[in-house]
Order: sequence, then C-alpha cells, then structure tokens
Amino acid sequence: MTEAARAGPTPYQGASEEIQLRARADASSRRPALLAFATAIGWLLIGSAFGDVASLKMHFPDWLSGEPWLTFGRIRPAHMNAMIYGWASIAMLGVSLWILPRLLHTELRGPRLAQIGIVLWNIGLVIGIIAILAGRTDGLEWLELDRYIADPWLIVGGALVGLSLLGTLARREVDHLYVSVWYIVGAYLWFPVIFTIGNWPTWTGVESAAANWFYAHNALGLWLTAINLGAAYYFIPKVLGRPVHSYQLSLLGFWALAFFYALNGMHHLVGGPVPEWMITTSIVASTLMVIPVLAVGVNHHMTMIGRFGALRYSPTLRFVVLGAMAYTAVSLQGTFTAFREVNRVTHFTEWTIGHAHVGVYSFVTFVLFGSLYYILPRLVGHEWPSASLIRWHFWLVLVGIAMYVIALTVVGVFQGLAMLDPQVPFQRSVEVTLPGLVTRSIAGGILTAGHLVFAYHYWLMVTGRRPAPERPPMHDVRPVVFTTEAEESAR
Amino acid sequence: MTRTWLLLLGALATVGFAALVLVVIPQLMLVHVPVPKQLAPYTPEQARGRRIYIANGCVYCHSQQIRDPAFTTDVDRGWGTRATEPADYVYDRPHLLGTMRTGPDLINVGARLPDPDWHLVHLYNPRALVPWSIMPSFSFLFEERAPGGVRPGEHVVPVVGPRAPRGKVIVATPDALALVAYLLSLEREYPVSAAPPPGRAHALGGGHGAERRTVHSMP
Amino acid sequence: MFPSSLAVVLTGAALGALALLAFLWGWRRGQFSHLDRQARVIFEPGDCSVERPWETPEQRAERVLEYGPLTPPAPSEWGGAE
Repeated sequence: MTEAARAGPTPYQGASEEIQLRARADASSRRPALLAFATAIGWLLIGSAFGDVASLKMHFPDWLSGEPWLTFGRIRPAHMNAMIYGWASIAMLGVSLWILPRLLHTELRGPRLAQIGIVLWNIGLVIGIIAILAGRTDGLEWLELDRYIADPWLIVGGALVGLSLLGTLARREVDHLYVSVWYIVGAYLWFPVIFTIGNWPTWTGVESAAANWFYAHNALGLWLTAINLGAAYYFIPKVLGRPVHSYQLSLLGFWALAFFYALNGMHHLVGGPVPEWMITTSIVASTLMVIPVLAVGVNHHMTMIGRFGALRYSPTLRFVVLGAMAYTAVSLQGTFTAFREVNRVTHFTEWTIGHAHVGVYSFVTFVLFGSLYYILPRLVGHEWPSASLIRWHFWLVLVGIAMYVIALTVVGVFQGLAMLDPQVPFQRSVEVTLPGLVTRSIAGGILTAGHLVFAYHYWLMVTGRRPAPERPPMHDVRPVVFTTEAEESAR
Repeated sequence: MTRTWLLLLGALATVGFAALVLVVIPQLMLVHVPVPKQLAPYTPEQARGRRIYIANGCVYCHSQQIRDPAFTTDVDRGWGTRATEPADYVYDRPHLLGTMRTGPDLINVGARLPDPDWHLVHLYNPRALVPWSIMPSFSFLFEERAPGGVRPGEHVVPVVGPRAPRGKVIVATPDALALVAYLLSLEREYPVSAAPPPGRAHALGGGHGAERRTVHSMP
Repeated sequence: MFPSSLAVVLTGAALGALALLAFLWGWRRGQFSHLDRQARVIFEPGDCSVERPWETPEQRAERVLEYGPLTPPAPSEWGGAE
C-alpha cells in the first residue's frame, strides 16, 4: 500500500476548488487547442493522400509521371513533411497547450500568442510543401522545408507557442512538476536547438550528413517522442485512476532518454564515410537506450497490469496504451537495427521505412489519437457521438499499420539479403520488394479510410450534427456530469 | 522535482553535450580534410544538374556512398573500387549520402555508365532500357517534337522500341543535359590521399577491383 | 587525434562534474523526495473515487479502502463515447 493509502481518506476529499481550477485551466487553452487540432486533422488527410500516391507510384512507376510536381521524389517528402510537421507536430502543439495548464494548476498565459503561433506554423508549412512540390527543397531528409522561405515561419510560430507555455510554467501554482511537464517543457527547449543545428546553412560534405542525422534522429527522439511520452504519462494513470507505478523509474527514464537519445543520430550512417568513432558513439548510445525504454515500458506496464479490460471502455486508453507499447517495441527494434551485423542487412532497405512507421504511426499517431479522444469532448463540451465510428477508426488504423509494418519489414530483410550477396543481380533486390510494396499500398488505403472515419466523426462532433449520447453506450452505468457542473460554476 | 531551472538547464545540457560530440567536434576535425587532387569542383552545368537531382528527390532511392569492403559487399557489387571517405564529399552541399537503395548506389555511376545517351534514354523512360525497373519516368525533362522540328544544337535522345513515341522525336531539355552531366561527374575511384584509417588497411588490399566490372547490376 | 586530446577530455569531465553537482544539490534539497506525492499531482478531487467498470471486485474494494465510496463516472470520463 502506498503512503497515501495508509494515511486514510485522501486530503482531496470534499475540496471543490481544485476542480474549478481545472475547469479554468481547460477553458484557458480551449481556442488555441481547438485551432491546432482542426488544422492537424486537415494535415492528416493531406498527408494521407500524398502517402497513398507515393506508395502507388512505387509499383506503377509510369503513373502520373508527366508533371514534375507529381514525381515520386517530390510527393514522398511532401507526405513526410505534411505528417511530421503538419499532423503530428501541430496536434502536439495542441496537446501541450491543453495539458500544461492542467498540470501546472493555472491558466494558459498568452493564448492569443499561441493561436498566432499555430497560424504562422501552418502558413510556413503550406509554403514549404508547395516549395517542395515546385522543386525547391533543402535536400536533406527531414529538413526538406526551405530554410529561407518556410522555416522562419515555423521557428517564429513554434517560439510563440513555446513562450506561451514557458510563461505558464513560470506562473505555475503547483509545487511539484509532474513527469509529463519535464518531457513537454524539455521538448520545447530541445526542438529550437536541434532545428537550428540541422538547418545551419554552412555544413558541407559529410559534416552536412552528421548534422542532418543529428537533427533527424532527435526530431523523433527529443520532439515527437518527448511530447507523446509526456501525454502517455498523463493519460494512462489519469484514466485508470491510479498513480504511475514507480515515479523513481520515470525520473530515471526521462534523464536517460535526454542523455542517450541525443547521441543516437549517427547510427543512420553505419558504414558510411563519417569518422568511425562517431558511428560507434551512436551505436553505444543506441544500446544504452534500452535503459530509458525499459524504464518507461515497465512503468507503464506495471501501471496497467490487471486492468487491461479498461481498453474496452476507454478509446483514449486503447490508443495510448497500444502507442506506449509500440514505443517500447520501436525503440528495441531501433537498438537492434543499430548493431553493425543487423545494419549491414537492413540498411538502405524497406526495413527502415517500416521501422519509421512503427515510431511515427504506431507510437506517435496512436498516442495523439488517444489524446484527442480525451481532450476534444472537454473542449467542445459534449461527448463523441458514435461508439461505432470510434471502433471503425481503431480497427482500420490498427489493421492498416500492422499490414504496413509487417509487409515492409519482411521484404526489407529479403531486399537486404539479396543486396548483400554480390552473386545475386540487383534486379532480384527490387523484385523481392514488390509484394511488400503492393501490400503497403493496400495498407495505406486502409489507413486513409481510418483517417476519413476519424475526420468525419470529428466533424460530426464539433458541428453537433449528431446529438451527443446521453450516456456512455459501452458501460451500463448512470452518467453524472461533475466536469460540466464545475465548468458551470466557474463561469 | 520542484525547480524549473534544474529541468531547463538539465535538458539544455544533455542536448548541448550531444551537439558537442556529434556536430562541433567532428566539424573541428573535418576542416583539416585535404581536398583530393583528382577531385574537381562541380562545373556550373554539373552544379545545375545536382540541383535537378535534389529537386526531384533522387536521394530517396539512390545512395551515394560505398561502405568498407570488410563490412559489406558494395565493392564486390561493382559500385566502387574502395570505401568512400570524407575527402570525397568536400564539394557537396548539401550531402546526398542517402538512406535507401531502391535503386543502385550512384557515387561512381559516371565510371560505371559513361554514356550520356544511355542516361538520357533511361531518364526519359527507365523501362526502355531496364524492363524490371521501378524508377519513375522523368519525361517532363524532355520535349516531344515533330521530326522536322529539331532546332540546331538540340540533343535528340535515341529512344527506340515500344517506349518511343510514334512519329515524334525526343529532345533533351537543358535540365536533362545538366542532370546527366552531374551523373557523369560522379566518380570517386582515385586513390585517397590520406592513409586509410586503421582497420580498413587490410580490407582495401583485397583486390576486388579486377573482377568488379563483370558484375554490373545494370545493363 | 582531436577527440582524445586533453582539452576535450577535460571539457567533458568538467561538464560531467557540473551535472553531478547539480544532481547532488537537487538530492540534498529534496528535489527527489516525496515522489509518491509527485506522482499524484495529476489527480483532482474525486478522480480516483470514480467507479471503474473494468476493475475486479478486489480492485474495487481496494479503491474504496483508499479513496472512499465510489461515484459513477461522467459521460466522457475515459475520453470518448464508449
């Protein structure tokens, strides 16, 4: 039993001021968060369309090849940037704007600033993606957005959101900084540093490669991962109604992630023409990533254990818990892939694409879907209208991403083995991937269908086209409305 | 934790340390890389071709690096005579090392496939030369003309077979010619001036060079 | 080689020592104590006494013991329509 349990009834009992505080915190971030989620869902659909076209082009190479802006080499980065900087990053801006005031027990400072920031970020991204389609790109993976005409918008926009969040942190009315706060605040410090280093215009030759992969790996580790782990650390205990299993472990997990993840980037260049010690450093750091990953994984699992039935009741938990499991899986896969013996097979193959989608989809996107299922009803003031649309969304994206990842991972190994044997003609390494590429296109279609269901459901909800259910359909308990009551009394 | 500064400084320190190790120190080391005598800077046309290469995202399917022959079979496959080194990339901004080999490595494509017309036909429609290729057609880098409409100085691309347009000829745009000039400039087969780093020396003496041209992966 | 030069080693050691000092300072000042209370800052009053329909009778009994009588959940208590 915990200390609090031995002390008897919790000291919170009977106090209602804190609930009013929470209602005020939620209300303060309502507009910027809603703006962020609306545009993020738009980017999700745009990114899906680009992704589907790019995928089909890999096995119909003559399809849509007459126009330069439709060529594979432009559609692919358009997909990637729309998903990373549009869907994931903007949804993450919304999640951080909503969670931090709650965790800091205060209202969001500068919500206008944050709104302007989100608008600027969107403008920069539209400019950047149009530029990519027009053939203007920085030419570095993950950093295609033009550093002169697109990136400044993102930097200023992100800085405005960051200022709003740091201002909120400075005025916090809570003593302890919860683990989610570290991850989210950390991410807003890390991102401008790595983004600047990555976009620095003077890097030349292999130094450009080092800076490129320093950025790209940290964009995943210190930006996407950090904020989504912060969200998982909030939603899992919150919905379950029990504190995270071990707070010590969460401390260890955070600092180990901050230290080791940042050193990982060069494992994307194993065998490449950069000084050997850099690659070795990254392989060692990739191996040490097992520490924070297991710390987080064990912690979340021990919090969940014996309560997996909750996944049937809570779409939030369903997505967030699967996302958290995918985080453990993708990180261990990443460590495994960094080993030289594995890397000589998997490097330069579809395995990498599969791995990237476990990270950015199964982990990041799932946690974001779960977060939106929790946050949006609290922003618009009524419930998601349809349980069956949620189920359709869940099963479509789950089946879609499983097909996607399995197909590419398997053909990636065959592709790598074929390329490693000089007696096997290169042709073979192309042909073995075709079944996987076709499966990937089908999987992409299923994922897109899931996204359309989600976007339609979101539209039904915010427009109030369909009446919100009186009570939660999945569990036969009498609903009460204490959140709404508190909001009423706050007004 | 209750202290904001502990969090802020700690977070900045970790990323700062990583940047020091992986970006700043290598930068300080690599400024001393000697430029190989045989490596010429890109000509204006090659540089233009490189921009076309970047704009059309060739890097998403083609790498430009040869790994250590002791580690992989890049050399045995005929993609190069030796592992590429930092000195081979001193004129590259941005780098185009790549992370995918949906298509073959290109760092020595100029030595492997020196015929400009091969490249032009291949870019116009890869399947005209390599039936199993999944590379996109870059027909937008070419213009279709009536047989009498070719102006002097224009380069007619010798497309033949079912992929050739009926009753028309294909003319390469300056962009296509620049891209091919860049591809032909890709040749990093001269001996590197610096002594190979320890651990690579024995591997480089393997003598794969003689047979490598017999294992072309592409026609 | 430069990465193994004395200057780099000393800089690295100094940075590490600084981090260690900050950590020890934080430890002495109690930044890492009361972890149980820190883990609970996400809960508002009543959060933990809401009935969780997926819990076993034993888990419910534990919850009652720890947080008092259970209250029925609000419509979107677990995020969404289910």
